[in-house]
Amino acid sequence: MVTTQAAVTVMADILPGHEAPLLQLLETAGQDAANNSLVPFGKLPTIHFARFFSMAATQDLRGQPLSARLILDADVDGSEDAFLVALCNLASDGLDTIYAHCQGYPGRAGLLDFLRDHSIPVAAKYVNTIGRTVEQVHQEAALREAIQGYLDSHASEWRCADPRRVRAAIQEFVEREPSLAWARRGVPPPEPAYIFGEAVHVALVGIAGIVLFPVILLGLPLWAFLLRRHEEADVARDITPDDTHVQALAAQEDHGVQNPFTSAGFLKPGPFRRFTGTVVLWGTNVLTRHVFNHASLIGVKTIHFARWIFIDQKRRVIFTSNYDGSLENYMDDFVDKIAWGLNASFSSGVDYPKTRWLILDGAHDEQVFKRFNLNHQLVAPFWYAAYQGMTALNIDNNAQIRAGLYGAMDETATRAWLRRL
Amino acid sequence: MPDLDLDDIQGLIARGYPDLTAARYVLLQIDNAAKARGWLGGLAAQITPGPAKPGDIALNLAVTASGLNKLGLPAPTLALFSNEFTTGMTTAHRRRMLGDVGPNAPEGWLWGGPDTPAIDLLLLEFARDQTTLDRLSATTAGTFASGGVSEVLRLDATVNLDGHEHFGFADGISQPTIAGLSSRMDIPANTVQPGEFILGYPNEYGRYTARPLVDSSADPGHVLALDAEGSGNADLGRNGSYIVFRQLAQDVRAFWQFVDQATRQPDGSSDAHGRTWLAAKMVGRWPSGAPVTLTPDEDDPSLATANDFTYQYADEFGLSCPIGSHVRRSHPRDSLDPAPGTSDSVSLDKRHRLLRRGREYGPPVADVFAPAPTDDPDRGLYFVALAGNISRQFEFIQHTWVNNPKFDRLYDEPDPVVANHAAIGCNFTVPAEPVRIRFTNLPNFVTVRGGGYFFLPGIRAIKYLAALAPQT
Repeated sequence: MVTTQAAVTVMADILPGHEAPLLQLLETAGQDAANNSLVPFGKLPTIHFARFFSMAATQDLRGQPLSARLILDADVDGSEDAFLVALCNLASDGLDTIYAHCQGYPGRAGLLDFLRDHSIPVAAKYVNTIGRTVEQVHQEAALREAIQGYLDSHASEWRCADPRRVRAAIQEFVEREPSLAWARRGVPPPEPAYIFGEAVHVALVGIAGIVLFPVILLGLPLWAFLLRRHEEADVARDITPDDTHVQALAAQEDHGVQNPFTSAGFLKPGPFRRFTGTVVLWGTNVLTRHVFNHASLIGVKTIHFARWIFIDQKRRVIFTSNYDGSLENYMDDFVDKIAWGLNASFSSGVDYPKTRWLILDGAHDEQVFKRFNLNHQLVAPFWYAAYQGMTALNIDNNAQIRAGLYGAMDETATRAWLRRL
Repeated sequence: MPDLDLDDIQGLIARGYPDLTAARYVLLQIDNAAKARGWLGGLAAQITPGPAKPGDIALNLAVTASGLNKLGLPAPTLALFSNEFTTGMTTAHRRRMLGDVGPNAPEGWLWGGPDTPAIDLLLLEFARDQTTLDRLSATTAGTFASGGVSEVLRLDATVNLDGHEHFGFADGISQPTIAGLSSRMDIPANTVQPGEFILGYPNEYGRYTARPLVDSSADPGHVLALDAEGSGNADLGRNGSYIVFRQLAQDVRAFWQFVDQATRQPDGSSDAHGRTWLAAKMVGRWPSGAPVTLTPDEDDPSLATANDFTYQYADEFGLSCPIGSHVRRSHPRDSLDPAPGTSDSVSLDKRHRLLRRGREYGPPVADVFAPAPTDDPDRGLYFVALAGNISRQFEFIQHTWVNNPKFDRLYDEPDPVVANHAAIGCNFTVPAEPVRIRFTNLPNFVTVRGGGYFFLPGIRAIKYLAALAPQT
């Protein structure tokens, strides 16, 4: 049974004048995101990551006012609706207190419907490993801990042993442990319906591609021409980030191994940019669903979840992620490894460092790109992580340990499996 | 490849003065701005520059953000220096990043912390021997009063451990070669663009690291060189660098007693070879300096200065040099993503290098297994590193590699030698066949006792600062 992960996003307008008290509320709760009295995310075992953050009231590029927003952003096992129902059952008091600060909130009785109505789709999402649940993450970590303890306590026995004997001893140890009974069953394979469903999706994408191929072929030169025209006309202001803002961002960073990243910005105006942005994110979503769905986003292995969301009739884009390590390392990782991917997905944003042919230049200007990021980053005052202390690499390694615990293995594979410990 | 303006670069960038075995770092505060500016002007002529190896003495000067402010540098210009330098080493976020918590917390520092006097200037004094050093110090100290500065603390780094540090290991073997600086040829993997260590030149991204550029109207005397990027501004940072300075106290007894305990024979007796083996695995080099990667089981003094090796092909799994060992994680060479073993990974490594110029301090321990006397003196390393970009170079190495329990694919293993083991648990895995040997709960061996970020100006920049108009 594959349990897929949903990217839940709920956005509501904040009542004028309520931004400050709401922020205060979220900051207080955020000091203990798992067990606070407002929304104790830790009590829902299906949540990988969750955050509340706000966006200040502003104006769009034409001067039209945009109200302040409150966003709930959660990566969960199972369906979005099941999550909203469970969240309301868990914390209706706290949610009521929060959403009382929002426009159009009808009161406790209408809470679930309000959340459902204000739920918005993502344009693209990334899940490190589709199908891996919170329970699986915790279980496989416990398995590794237990095996490590076992190996430590019998260290002298292993020095010159045959690797297969060591593996057999580990298997016997796991057999004897009642708390690890679940590990004796391997990870069940995805059910045929799921595999079929995914294959159908790929096929539809492929068919659409074939059907639209003549259109794409004819349209490409025009698109490329327009792209270069836009790119040459682009003005990318390189603004030194405000020091207070940098400090506020720094204050939320590096309290644990994982960090949240939250950012928002305006799309460059015009139908061309909206079209290009839509297509790029649609393509990203296809790739993250079918290609980059196991432990690596084109070589970057430190991201747990990420999403891109259009808001305000595609006038703005929100990007959020949950990743390992420091922000500096995160940005360096992207700049060093897949600057072209950053350029493709973010060059439609106002003030993004100038690109050529969509993927060249842009983020390669490391310092300008980092300043752009800082300028568009938002603080997430209330951020929950279900398994702080584990990197994506750790989690994947744990999964490989569990997967390789039973079953036939030749000597080379056994040595490789033992190296994981 | 732009020529390096060696005459304007302070000598400390070009060399660590290995022949000048006596060293002293004098931390100063500015009491009178006008006098201090005059003092700087006079000192500029005595600063040891880049080109030639010095004779008997060398003198270099660095300044803090507080010092620049007191000298009268306008606030908007000071804001152009790096954020790390202007906000300092002890901000709340930086403490978390650098592991300066618990026993390393700045509240307990001897200098540079919130409870110790502000530091404005740093004089780095070097001499051929102790007598010459003391004479140099006395001469310079004689100019303090009239120069409007006074001494906050002097840090003596005069112990001579013959190229070793206090744990007993040869130190300073792996230094990057700055392209265009020395005539010494080095392998490309170890040759780094000058901008990584000297502001005003291209860095490893082919760009110019941010540095303070002032409007040419603020430099009417044309003291400063112009911005090499062609903006027409005067480059106050050119030929300068940033200094990361940290006093690292080393608990030599705890280190050797730990490795001794961890490698006891079944009958409880010590295993002298075993404990040196474990210590070498933790460091990544044997006491002679021989890399564990090249000689995993025994020390080999003929390899004492070997530095031309990589990890990926010969030692991917750490069976020779453990993944978590100190030298491997502070300079991973070709072993990390994006493509271990290729030039892409080497390029990544080159963006996170440090030029180390530190010295040991404090008397060596006579017998590491005897209990410490009641008045046991402090000993350790004055860690001095130069970088053009403190955040991408020093802080990155410290946070993402050295202090990171998750370095590479590890789970709970910060640096076994230098990280703050009191703050987070530290295990150490020695990969082995068929299965690893693991050591758990390593005690703490290194404690931070002081620190600060400094700017090492080019010599023209020192003259510029000396000529600043008084701030009203």
